[in-house]
Amino acid sequence: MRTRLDVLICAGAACLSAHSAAVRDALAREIEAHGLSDEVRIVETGCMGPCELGPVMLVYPDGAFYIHVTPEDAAEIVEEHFLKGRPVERLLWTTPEARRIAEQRKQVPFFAKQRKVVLKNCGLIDPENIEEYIATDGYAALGKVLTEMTPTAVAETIAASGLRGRGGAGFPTGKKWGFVAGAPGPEKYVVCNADEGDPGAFMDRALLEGDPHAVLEGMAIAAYAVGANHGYIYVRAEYPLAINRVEAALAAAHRMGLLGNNIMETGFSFDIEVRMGAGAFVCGEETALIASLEGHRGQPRPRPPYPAVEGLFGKPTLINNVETFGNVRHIILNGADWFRSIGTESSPGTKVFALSGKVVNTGLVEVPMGTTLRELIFEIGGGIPDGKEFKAVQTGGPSGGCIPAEYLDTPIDYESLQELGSIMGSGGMIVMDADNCMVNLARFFLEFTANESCGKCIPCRVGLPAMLEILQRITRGDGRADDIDKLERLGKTIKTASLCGLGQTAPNPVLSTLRYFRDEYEEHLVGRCRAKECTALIRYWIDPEACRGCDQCRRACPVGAIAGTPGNPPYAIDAEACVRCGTCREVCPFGAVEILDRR
Amino acid sequence: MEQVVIQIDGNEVRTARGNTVLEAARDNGIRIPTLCHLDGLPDIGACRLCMVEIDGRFGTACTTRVRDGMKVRINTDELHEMRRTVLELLFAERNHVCSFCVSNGHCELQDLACELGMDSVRVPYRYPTLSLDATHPRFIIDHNRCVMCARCVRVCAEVEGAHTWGIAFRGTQVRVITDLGVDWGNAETCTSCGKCVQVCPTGAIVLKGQATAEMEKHPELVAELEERRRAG
Amino acid sequence: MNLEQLRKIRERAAKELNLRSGKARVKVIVGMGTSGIAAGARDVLAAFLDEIGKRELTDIIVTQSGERGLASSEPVVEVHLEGKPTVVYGHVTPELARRIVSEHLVNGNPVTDHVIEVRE
Repeated sequence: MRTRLDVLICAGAACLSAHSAAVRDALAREIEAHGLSDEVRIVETGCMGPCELGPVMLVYPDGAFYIHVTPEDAAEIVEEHFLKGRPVERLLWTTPEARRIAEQRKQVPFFAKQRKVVLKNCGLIDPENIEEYIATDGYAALGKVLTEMTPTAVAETIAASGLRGRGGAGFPTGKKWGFVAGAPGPEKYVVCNADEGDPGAFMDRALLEGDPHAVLEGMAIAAYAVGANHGYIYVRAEYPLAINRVEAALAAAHRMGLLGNNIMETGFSFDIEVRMGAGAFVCGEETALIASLEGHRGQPRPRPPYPAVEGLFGKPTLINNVETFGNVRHIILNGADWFRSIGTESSPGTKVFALSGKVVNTGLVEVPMGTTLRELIFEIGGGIPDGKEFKAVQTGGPSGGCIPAEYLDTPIDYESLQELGSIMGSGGMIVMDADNCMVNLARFFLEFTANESCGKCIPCRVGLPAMLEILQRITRGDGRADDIDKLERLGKTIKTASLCGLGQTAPNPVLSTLRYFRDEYEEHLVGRCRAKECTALIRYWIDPEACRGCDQCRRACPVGAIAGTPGNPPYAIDAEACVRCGTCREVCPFGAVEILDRR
Repeated sequence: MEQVVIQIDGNEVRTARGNTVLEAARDNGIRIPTLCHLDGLPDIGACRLCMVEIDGRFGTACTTRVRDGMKVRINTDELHEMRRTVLELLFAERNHVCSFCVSNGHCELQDLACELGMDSVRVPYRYPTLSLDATHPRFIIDHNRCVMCARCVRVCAEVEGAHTWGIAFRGTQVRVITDLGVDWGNAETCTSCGKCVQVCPTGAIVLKGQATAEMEKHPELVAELEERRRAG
Repeated sequence: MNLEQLRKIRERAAKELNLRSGKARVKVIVGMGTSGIAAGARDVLAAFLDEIGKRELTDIIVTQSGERGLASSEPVVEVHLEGKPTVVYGHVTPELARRIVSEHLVNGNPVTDHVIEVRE
């Protein structure tokens, strides 16, 4: 059972002197007595402000603000509110001030509901000070494997932990390490894939910037396990700060003998070089990344042979994502069982997601696998701004799929997302409300992937622009009756026939929106965009009843499409001249400008 | 040579270990459509026409090596449809107008269309505006007819060793280029050996002075050349 | 460097990280990831240093870190006061930074309307 309610008790000086600690203890006893210990969590906070009303207490997610709470009230609050869901009215404070504080404090669940493993140090330690990293048990895991474990035991521990690749595909990491370890040959490589290209995703950047040594340590442990002495970090050139911090970290680790020759006087040697990518999205695909590292054009090649057998410079190569390496030291220090205790059976551990779009708290969140989309978006993310309705969430970046409201309670793991027609990807989460047109959204993502196709294989190179062209005409209002069938047929072919992951997943936004929002496509074919986002399908109209003739819209219109005389309403928009930029609607002080269907 | 037994469309066939699925099929008289593959050049699996089902997963026959007991399916409705769609996409991509092409009647793309029964194109034609480079004294590259199989790039690098041809840009902008993008006539590395002309499957790289349907090519020369080199 | 030396560094560094070495009473951590810097963290850091310098406060360490995740609230600043819960501020401006110095660091009263997290 997950925490259902967060009870924030003020532990500021004023409330403490009004015996808030006794209230806290009484509540804890009642919660325990009612068997709610797993569902209700008590958090003590700093001063909330209204000291004269203390002890004060806030309950989330409902935002109930209790004042003048006494230990005697605890039983009633737990019984009525926490158990039966009826806040105790006589103790509630409902002024605008209470609401303001509740809103402000609401951000606490953003941190409280997270489980930080990979990002534990981010925001806490100085990434440019290796001693601060060492203070948080840094390089202790490397020391442990070098002095206490055989390479095979290291790979087995990772395998036992159930860690899966955090770059998106979710391949079992320990298995991959085993393949590379078992591949013959004296020369092997460890490569860190830091070519984070999904728009809106920045978990790898945050880790490299905030805790670079964790990635280096993970790589060194991997190198010991597979028998490699050289490593590369392939990071996109658009991340200058991450590159600086990683290079500073490398220099510091070398200086202290934690990387380089004869690490910690154990005889094991491993060094790492940083290579910058030139910005092609496809270079996040492992074979394209390797080609780019070798100095060739960044294009993927068919697998098999897999990089574990034939990778960088034709040698066995272990290639893992930044976040995957970030998990390694924690597994070594805390054990595989500890890791398995977080997350789900098939997807243990945590995952970092980048929340963006129509959500109150945008940013990076790290949660145990198996957390539901609802918890992620509504509790940690704080829900949809302006009280609007949730419509869908796009997971997995530009090649992921859209998941509608009916699946909000799906626990997030690799399999469940795939069943819904989406992917984990690197962990992008873009939230959409009713103002987002799903057809236009699919068009937007396809425009990105079509542009980023490397052009090597035909389905992706020509198929994606073909789908894009069909989507463009649908959003222009020129869609044809068989366009939906064509999109589905093309999408399926591209998914199965493409050479690499880019083409194999690029149709997902179209196919998943066709699966869950097919009616929106059909509406577009008859000239209607319900989200009023496709400009070709809408027109602006001034409500004569509401117009007061203030002249603001006429002056703001960039194309002179509005006619009227000041003080003599109503004004009117010339639909032919109007470019549907929406400026008039923004400037109208009376809300008189409405968006209608163009037909 | 050690033999491996695999299944192709339900029939057991034998082939040498180390062969690709494509070679295994061909040794046993089974045809798999190909375009970017050419005997004597390294395979890149780019055109996706030789896509087959291997133990339930899709893969290119030209790049997959045989394993004992491997089950391959070549002729399924799904694969036929996939190959046809891929071919339609190729025809829709650039300006392939056979009627006044120098390679009309001797074109691998045209042959594939006949073989796969492609009687119409169901995807939107792109009709791009593309250039033609006739600056080389003997050869022409017409990007309108290029299918990006990269045979020219491979033969120039792997057989001739000149590395004149390369690939630039991405997506629909992707092009074969000579010497970092200079006109072919100014490409200093070009030895004018003409191998790229012979391996080009369409009328994209051709000899000057050919009229419609006159351009006949000999891509098999590459394999012969490689054979002779191996023999020393 | 061997394991024993690493252990010694860890023990010493852990003390400093927890403000137990007695060198400083307060530690201010400014989130200097790309998100923070884009939102103006450099100016905030400069304001802290300037204000602390002007007041000649010698028992305060100002340091940097990566980002904590809440991109929409950047720049984010953490204040560690010995023996007190850690206070995290969001949307910090140079002006707010100066207020934090005078009200929180000097007088011990957090600027409550900009607090986004309090933890033990």
